Amino acid sequence: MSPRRTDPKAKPQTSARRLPDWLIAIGIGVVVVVGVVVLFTLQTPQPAPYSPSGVTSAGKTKGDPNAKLELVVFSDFK
Amino acid sequence: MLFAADAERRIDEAYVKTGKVKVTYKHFLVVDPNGESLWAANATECANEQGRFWDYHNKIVAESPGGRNSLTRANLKKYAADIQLDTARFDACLDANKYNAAVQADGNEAQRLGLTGTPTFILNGRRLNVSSLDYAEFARTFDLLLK
Repeated sequence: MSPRRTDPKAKPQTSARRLPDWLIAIGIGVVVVVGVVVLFTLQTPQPAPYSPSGVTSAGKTKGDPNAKLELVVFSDFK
Repeated sequence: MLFAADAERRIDEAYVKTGKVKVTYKHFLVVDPNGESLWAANATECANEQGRFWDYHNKIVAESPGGRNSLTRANLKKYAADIQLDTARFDACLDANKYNAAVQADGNEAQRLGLTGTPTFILNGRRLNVSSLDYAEFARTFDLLLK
């Protein structure tokens, strides 16, 4: 058997192959889009409005606008 | 504001939430009309600007029942922050005394009606004379008119 000849200038072969640039670009794009979507969906939710009374209101009147009775309160916070 | 701290809350539960009675607040400054009364009235109007008049009203009542505690501008701003109002907008509104004229207009109406003290109640356009601020007295009157 003749000895195996090798080209000393040849690059060593490896099993890994470099991915095409266009595929890498698409991959980066997908990661960025997913990241942005996750960022917006995981934002801290706004606190619910503070409404201790649970009574509906419009301006300085609370209750059903069609209520039979209207009580006007003239008052002073002090 | 003792009315607000007790009877009003019960009226809310029994009559306002059930659609039988609506309640409207108007300013009538008699205790400190150029100081804390005016600041507090302005503050509620500034909260109203953000659609939160009653929330802010309830906050003041909770923090200063019967007007016992100091209603300084600093305290009023803190209450606004506590109930998560837009504080920059609220503070600017309060510092500008933006609603002095609106508060005065309510007071003018009270004077036209011949009112002399607070709280005073007008029920369906007629003065409601109550001997106390007990919830039971309001309930009796409401029940009579709702029959």
